[in-house]
Amino acid sequence: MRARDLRDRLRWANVSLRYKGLIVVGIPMLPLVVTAFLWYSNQRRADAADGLVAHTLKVKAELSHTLTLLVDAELGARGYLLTRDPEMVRAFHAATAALVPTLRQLVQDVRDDPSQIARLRKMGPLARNRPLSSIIAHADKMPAGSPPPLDLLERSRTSMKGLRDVLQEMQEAEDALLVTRSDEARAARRQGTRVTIGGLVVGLAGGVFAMLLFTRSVARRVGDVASNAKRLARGEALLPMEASRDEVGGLADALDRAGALLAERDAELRRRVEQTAAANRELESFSYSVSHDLRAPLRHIDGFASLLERRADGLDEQGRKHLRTIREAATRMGQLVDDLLSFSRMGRAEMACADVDLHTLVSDVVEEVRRDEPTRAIEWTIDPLPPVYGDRAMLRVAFRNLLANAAKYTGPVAHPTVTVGTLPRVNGAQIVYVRDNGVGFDMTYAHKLFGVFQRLHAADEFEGTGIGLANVHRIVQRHGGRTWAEGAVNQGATFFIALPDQGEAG
Amino acid sequence: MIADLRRILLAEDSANDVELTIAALGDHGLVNHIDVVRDGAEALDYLYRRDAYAGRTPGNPAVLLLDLKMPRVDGLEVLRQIKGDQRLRTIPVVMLTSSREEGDLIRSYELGANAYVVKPVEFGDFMSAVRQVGGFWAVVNEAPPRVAAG
Repeated sequence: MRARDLRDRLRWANVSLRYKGLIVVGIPMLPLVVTAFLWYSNQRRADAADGLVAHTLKVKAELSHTLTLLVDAELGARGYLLTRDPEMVRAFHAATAALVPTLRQLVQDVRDDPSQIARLRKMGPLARNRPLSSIIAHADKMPAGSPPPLDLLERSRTSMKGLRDVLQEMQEAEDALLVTRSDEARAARRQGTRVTIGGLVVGLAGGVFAMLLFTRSVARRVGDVASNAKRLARGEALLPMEASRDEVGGLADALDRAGALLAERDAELRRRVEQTAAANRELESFSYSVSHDLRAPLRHIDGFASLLERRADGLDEQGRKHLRTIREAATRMGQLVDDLLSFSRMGRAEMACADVDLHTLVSDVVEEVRRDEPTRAIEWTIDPLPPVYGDRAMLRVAFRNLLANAAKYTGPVAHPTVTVGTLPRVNGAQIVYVRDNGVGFDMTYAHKLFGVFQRLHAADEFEGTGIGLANVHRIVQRHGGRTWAEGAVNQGATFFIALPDQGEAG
Repeated sequence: MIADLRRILLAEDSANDVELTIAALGDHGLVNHIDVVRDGAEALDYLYRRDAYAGRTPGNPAVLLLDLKMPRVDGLEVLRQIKGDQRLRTIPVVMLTSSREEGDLIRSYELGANAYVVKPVEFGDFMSAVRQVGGFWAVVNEAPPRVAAG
């Protein structure tokens, strides 16, 4: 179980992006670092070999110098014997004096090499056996031209030869060392170059591999997620994505869930719309019933009351008045039913929106209202009105209601005036108002003005069913607009409608 | 002239409406020319002279006053059958109904109704509407030549 967990967590797809990044960068980096290290160590090896070569050369120089000093001493002693020149004795002493530190240095420099030390040791007795001091003493003692001390000279030559041979051996040993050490330095350099080239190649290959790995495991999947996000934004179905537990996988999962949620909401919305449609159909059939079933009994009440009126000879005045009241009540209820139905139709009717010449429309409606009551002397003022976007027939009903209202409620006023005008646009909405100087209303009840069958005046004071402003409100609302009113008792009223620009009606 | 009048067929399920309609037409002296059926099925029986109406005098009525909403077969169905039948399609059909629904109105004209009258609530208006309709179709209008059914 744990092992499987671990294996699962170590699956490449499940490794988090941070570690994926580390790995992807690490793949080319690692060989490069190793290369750098190897290169450095080879370099050191080469340097060390170079140091040894230099040392060998130094030793060889010292050996040469030693030989020179030995020869100088010999020449000094022999020269003095031949010429009795004291200069020669000084040269002998100088060479002999310089020989001591030179040999000491040589011992110092070859102390790590036992074979050379052994050879050096052989030089001791040979040097000591040289009778140079004796030759000089002989020369001092004997007058010039006397026969040379042949035995001394012979010993000196033999020693000198031994010394030369030893030095020659040592030179040859150093030469051999020089060859191996030079080879060693060259080999180290060559290997360093090879390691560097190899490391670069491996690092480069690692880089290519890492890039492929990144492309395959991250870039492509991020691309998939991005294209799925776009599909989601367009409302299309999502394509299946590889399951994984890194950040990309999390993103893909979240996207999947968002898609599912969206689909769910969509289905829910559809269900709601379906329900609304069903409710609307029900309302439709209800309206139909009201229209048919409620009007029929009303007609019957009025009809039979009317038939009864014809035979009213038996009735007194009071009885006939009751009959009239019955008929009036039935008629009024018929009116209410009709108004309610037209109101409901106004809410359901399809809208046909276009640019509407509001000025002409309002002028026409004013003309209509005037014709309805030709005896009224109302002073109408219509300011220039801008074109608006909406359903012409509905807007006509709205203004018909507003203007008829204005005419109605200015009834008791001596000099009635009605003004239709506009206010500056607010948030792109066109505001049109209808102002009258009629009986007005109490602002306390302003919120009731636009309700169905809400009235602020007694029915016998002003006729009407109270559907007019409700219709105005509904029409403006369906245009995406807003209605409100201002007024005061006996100081007139102003009704405002705000119609938004094209595209917001619905 | 009155003897020549053909009959008015009133298809109406409401007894009250029947009585009021007859009262209205009565003022026109058309009372004796009215036949009343109480639903759509009966109206079709009458027109095709079958079952209870097998023995009636042949000939199409001068006009059919047709209520929309009736039991069994409704007005629109009766209208559809009449206008789809060679022998009956010339009968003038006046939809006489309480419904102000636009859908009913459009559907009726699509099916070939000759007129669509909404019964007014007020009796005076109702009287004059029925009188005008009855008078026009039964008295004034020149009927098509007889092509009797059955």
